[in-house]
Amino acid sequence: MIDFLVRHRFPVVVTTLLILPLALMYESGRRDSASSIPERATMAVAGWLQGLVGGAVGGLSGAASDYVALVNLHEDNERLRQANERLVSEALEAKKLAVENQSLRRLLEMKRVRHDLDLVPATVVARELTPFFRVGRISVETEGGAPQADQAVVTPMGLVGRVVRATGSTADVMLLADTRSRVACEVLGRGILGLMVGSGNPDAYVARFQVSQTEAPLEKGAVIVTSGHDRVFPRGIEVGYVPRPEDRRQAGPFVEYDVMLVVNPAALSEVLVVRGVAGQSRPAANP
Amino acid sequence: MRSFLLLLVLVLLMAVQSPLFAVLGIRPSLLDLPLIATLYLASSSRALRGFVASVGVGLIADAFTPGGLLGMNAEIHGILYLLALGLVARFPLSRPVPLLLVTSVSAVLKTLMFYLFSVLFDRAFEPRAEALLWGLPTALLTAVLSPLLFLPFAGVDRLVQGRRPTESLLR
Repeated sequence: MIDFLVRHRFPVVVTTLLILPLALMYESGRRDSASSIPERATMAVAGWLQGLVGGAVGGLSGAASDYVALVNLHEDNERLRQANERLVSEALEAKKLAVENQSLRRLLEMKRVRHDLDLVPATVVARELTPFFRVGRISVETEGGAPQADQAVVTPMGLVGRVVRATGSTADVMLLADTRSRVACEVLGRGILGLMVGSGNPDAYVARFQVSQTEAPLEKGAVIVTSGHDRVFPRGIEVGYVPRPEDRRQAGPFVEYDVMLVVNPAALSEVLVVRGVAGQSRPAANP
Repeated sequence: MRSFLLLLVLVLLMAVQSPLFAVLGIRPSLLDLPLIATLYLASSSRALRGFVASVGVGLIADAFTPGGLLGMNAEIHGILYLLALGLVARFPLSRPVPLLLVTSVSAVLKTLMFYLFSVLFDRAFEPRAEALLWGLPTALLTAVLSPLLFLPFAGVDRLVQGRRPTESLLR
């Protein structure tokens, strides 16, 4: 037996290593939201590394831009170089702090306005590395704020997506533009219910809003918000707007509108994870 | 040891890719580094070791790709390695033009395999023909830059063994 395995080790190893990932894929695809141990392990290691490297790259980028600014200053006025160096450095630091402050204020403001939501802040550590999915990775740094699958992720601007996989303080967030994303929505002020489906388009952050054919046509600029009927996304979070209602089309039993999403994930660095909604119990995650 | 170092280089490159591209304002998914690593292994490794390392490359890609099914890239890269191994005899990957061609073909095959496995295993996947086109920009850019992207991996070989499997690339 051993002799056979040694003699045929190439086909044996190849067959084994081609069957093993198939089993992993089957197991991973079978679970909707609960992560398996290998998934959690790989995600924890990669998430930690991405967070670490992301911080280092951000720091280096800041240092590089400071350096460029200082070189230009030196060329402009050698005599005032040292004074300008200090001032520019302080100004950049102040500007950076102001932007950070503004962003945090907006997050705090949202926590104040939506006091029905239990929100925890999170930092974006990685963006999608495949052209096929619109999924980002976030890290929650608040103590006791570990994210869980099927929690909504928002910003003061509107909805970002939902957690599809979580381990420790790291979570993968499926963005609204992902083809697998489904969000129960309604048209603000008109109560027309529908389903927001991700377009998957890598070049534009858009989704498709599907409503019943019996509903009246939507007007230009109609604002789409979450309806809360899926019990994943809290009600009243802005999702997007309809830029061109005349481009609507038939999609099976529905009429479909293109929706421009309000949150551009490419520019995101901080988000809020909705851990719970006052007076609403969460449905159990799928096994 | 060599395979481990090659995988380590890939891990570092992939960890840097997302934040660095974000700073530069480029979509991180435009470069397929694991594909390059697999092709490099096919062009420079012994068959069995290279295959095992390629499956490792796929697992690393799975870990760094949020939202995908664990094992999908491992499977795809294992198959791609075997295909690339067959192509290496006809198309020496130490030359830019064959490398560009093989990378393009491999990237297209990778897209097709992704689509097939998603249909088979991902219950939430919505099969749409346009999804096949989303991989084209990545395939093109990765193919064009493949001679450059080979360099970090060739650097590992120089460091470890003094080998120069791709030294003709930039001459």
